[in-house]
Amino acid sequence: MFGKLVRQLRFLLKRGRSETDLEREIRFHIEVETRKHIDEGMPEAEARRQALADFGSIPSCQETVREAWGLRIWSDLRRDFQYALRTIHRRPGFALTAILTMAIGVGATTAVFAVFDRAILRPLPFGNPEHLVYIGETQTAGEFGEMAASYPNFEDWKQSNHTVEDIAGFNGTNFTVTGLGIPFRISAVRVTTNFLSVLRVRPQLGRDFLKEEEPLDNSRVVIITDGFWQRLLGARPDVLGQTLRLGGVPHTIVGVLPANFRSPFGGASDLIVPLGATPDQRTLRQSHWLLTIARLRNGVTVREADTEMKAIAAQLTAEHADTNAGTSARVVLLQEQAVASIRPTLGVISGAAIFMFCLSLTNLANLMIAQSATRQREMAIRTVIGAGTMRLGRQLLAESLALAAIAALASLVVANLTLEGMTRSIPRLMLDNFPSVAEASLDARTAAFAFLLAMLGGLVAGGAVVCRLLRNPLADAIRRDSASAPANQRLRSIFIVTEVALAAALLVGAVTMLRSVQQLLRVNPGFAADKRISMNLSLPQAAYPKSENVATFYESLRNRIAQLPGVEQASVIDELPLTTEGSRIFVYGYGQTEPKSGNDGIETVVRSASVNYFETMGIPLKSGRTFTATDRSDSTKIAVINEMLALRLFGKTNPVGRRVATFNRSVYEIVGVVGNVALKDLDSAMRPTMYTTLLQDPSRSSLLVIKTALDPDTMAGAVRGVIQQLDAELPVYRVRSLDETINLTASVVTRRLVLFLIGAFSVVGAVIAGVGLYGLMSFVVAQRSREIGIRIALGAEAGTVKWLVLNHALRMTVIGLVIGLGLAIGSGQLIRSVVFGVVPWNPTILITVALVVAMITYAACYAPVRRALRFDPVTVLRHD
Amino acid sequence: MPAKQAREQAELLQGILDLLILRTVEVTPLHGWGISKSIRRMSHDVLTVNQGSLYPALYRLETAGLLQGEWGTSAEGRDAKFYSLTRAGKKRLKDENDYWVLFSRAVNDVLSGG
Repeated sequence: MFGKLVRQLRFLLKRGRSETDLEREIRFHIEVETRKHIDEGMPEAEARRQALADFGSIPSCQETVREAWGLRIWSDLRRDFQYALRTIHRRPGFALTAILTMAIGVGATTAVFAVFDRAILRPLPFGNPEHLVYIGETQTAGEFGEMAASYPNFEDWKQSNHTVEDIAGFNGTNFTVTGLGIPFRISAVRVTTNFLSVLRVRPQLGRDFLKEEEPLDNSRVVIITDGFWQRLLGARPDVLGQTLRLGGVPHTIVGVLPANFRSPFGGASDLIVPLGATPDQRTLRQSHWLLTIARLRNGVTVREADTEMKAIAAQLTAEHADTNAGTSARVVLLQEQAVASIRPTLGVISGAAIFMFCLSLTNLANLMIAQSATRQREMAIRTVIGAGTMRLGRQLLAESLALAAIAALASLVVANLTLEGMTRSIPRLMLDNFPSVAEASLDARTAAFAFLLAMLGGLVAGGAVVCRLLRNPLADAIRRDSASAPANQRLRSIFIVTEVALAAALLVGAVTMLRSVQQLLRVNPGFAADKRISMNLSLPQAAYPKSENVATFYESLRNRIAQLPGVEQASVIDELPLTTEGSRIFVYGYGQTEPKSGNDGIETVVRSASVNYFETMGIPLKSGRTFTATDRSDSTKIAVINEMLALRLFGKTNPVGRRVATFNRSVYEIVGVVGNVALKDLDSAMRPTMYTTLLQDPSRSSLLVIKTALDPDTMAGAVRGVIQQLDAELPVYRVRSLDETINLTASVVTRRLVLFLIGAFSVVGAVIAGVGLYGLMSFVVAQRSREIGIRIALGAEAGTVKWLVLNHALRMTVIGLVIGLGLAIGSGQLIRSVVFGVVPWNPTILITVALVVAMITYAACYAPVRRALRFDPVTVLRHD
Repeated sequence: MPAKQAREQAELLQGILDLLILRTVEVTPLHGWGISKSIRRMSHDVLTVNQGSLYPALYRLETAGLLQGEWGTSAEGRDAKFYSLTRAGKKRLKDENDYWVLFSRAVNDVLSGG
């Protein structure tokens, strides 16, 4: 058995040679025969003719030999495909529709797969990424959940664990680069010096950081990314040893990272520098700022590492109750953590893509069945003249596979368009937050996926038709006006119901997403966004060593900006709303309770705001006052708190005049209460917030917020003019309106992306279902032309005839609609993670979709009904 | 139709043709033409082999591993493919031969009235 297979394979491989062998052999045979005839006295021409005639048909002989080789299947296949292509060519309309719908389904799915592939399937560009884990600190109680690690905890983890080889810490930051033309901001990652070795990344040029380069004050080294090197330093090979001024401080370039390097959680970064933690950052156990990654030891599982880290965290809690009470640790695969935020979105768009694919697949099967009805007789005749059932089945399959192959090519175009649309639906500024979408592209992997998917589709759709058609083609054909039609019609009706159901489910998804985005943009973020613009500034430590310098600079800048023509209000804040929650501390009512640990009290976000901030932002003052220029750094520390913190700390009593304290005994007098503001995102919860005055607690890195009717760029120009006079080396960056900031929040961007995809899928799906319905109804009307003609002849009214047609269509769409809505509600759990302020089973949404489906039904039936009404009984009856 | 002509034109059953081919190449390797002549000669012109069946049969037997084809030079000085028996071919020939003897004797017994 095995030997035979090998021999067949060998023949297949050297088939060309065997073919010529056979030819030579036959030629030899005929020559010898001819020679024999000549020897017997025949003239040469006559002898040759005789020899040829004796031999018989040479091609037939060759064919039989090929069959003997067991290779006939190959030439048969080729013939089947040639025949299939001819058939396709003969029916360009059918072929085009089939290919187009298949290409849309496969293309859409491929585009989503490309994103999925980037995010989940492809390993991170680090050595042995399956051993890389993220270690986070968690709160066992409390509303913030997961936190970054504190440096002392990180050190203790490193010392006492046995499950990981090494732990590295990093933290994102920004720098102003001077000395390379106009000062500009770059994003950087501060890293512990073992960072690259944990990731197993080697610089393509130069060296890694040395252990002694970690502390802040003596490390003046930097490793730049390939992008930075190419873009800003012209990829010169002599960059090593050159100086780069970061925040006014000269740094020596010691290495260049490889081109495929990226930060562990994606996102843009231009260079890495040693961590350089401040003494406070190094020693405060309650200060959570360090992201930590580790490499598992060989043979250690994530779960084992997790168990150990939790045990260590419990140990630390016992030792440092004041800072570590209520905290634990969590170990998770780095790849998992990196895609955690996009995973729900991926789930939803994958689901939508699968629906879309099923819809196009159903449509292909539907089209092929419709086609086959016209070919029933052909099939029957071919059966009669002796074509085997297998043979016919193969032919049909070949046809659907040929269609699928062409569709696979076309689907690449669709996939490309879909990917482009997805990228465009994300604002350019947010693309870095969606690396898997931004980087997704068509390559060999995705193309192979498209091809396999199309083939699978062709096989399923073709297979369905073959099963249907070959059940009894002969009998069907003979009773062709009665028997075959209903069976096909029933099957096609099922297909239409399926298409309507899938389209309806997609429509529900699309309307739900549309409503979500609307609801989201209707959320009151607690401030007024119109006519407000913001821009970032960052004062380098070298030029502004003390906090007084920082406070003075920002205050005088604010004063000057406020004087500019067109400026209604100007102020400074360290973090804008709707960006990040930022640092948090625990505060308690001073004199009310005595905290036992640093985690006692209310976890509160702290912001540093200038005079006029609340006025500029339109944040309402609820009681007391806001900051004024007379609050000096040497007077009593004051704070404005939001309503949520006021309620948590003091209940219904007026907090103005009372004091709050932090665990390290900083005491603030509350001078006012303001409204709550959404700090992180439109869909995240409001947080207790305390504002300190910039005059007392300034932050180097802050934003100017200006209320003005001028457009952002004009305003930025004027601001740059003012700053030029104050400090020529200070870049102004990220100039944007607050409206833009709202549109750039992850919640809005993510939902717009999902809306774009589901919206596109549902529109295309609805059109496909509509066209399918139209096709079937046209067929039904043609089938029943006799009956309708008789009815008209007997005096049926237009309404009755209309109903005759519509009744059938409505039955299908209503069933489809019910299934579709059920499907949508069933997959509500999937979509729930991305909807906002609305549920998919909201009656308004369901009714909207029902109306849309009704309109599609009407549109699809319009022409067939018109045709039925115009039947002339005489013509119809005579025709048969 | 005269009986002789009918016999001549009757296609040999596949199994019988295989057996005859195996038998003719048992003594010495032969090329296709030689095999066809040999069968005709050994059957005293009773059996003729249709070329349209001969070559497929040769290739089938080769694929099945019963024959082995090799290019050589014919008596006429031309390139020809010579077929010889493989070990499996020899065994098959013996089996088929035994079976044929049994079978033909049985048929003869029936025809001659037992």
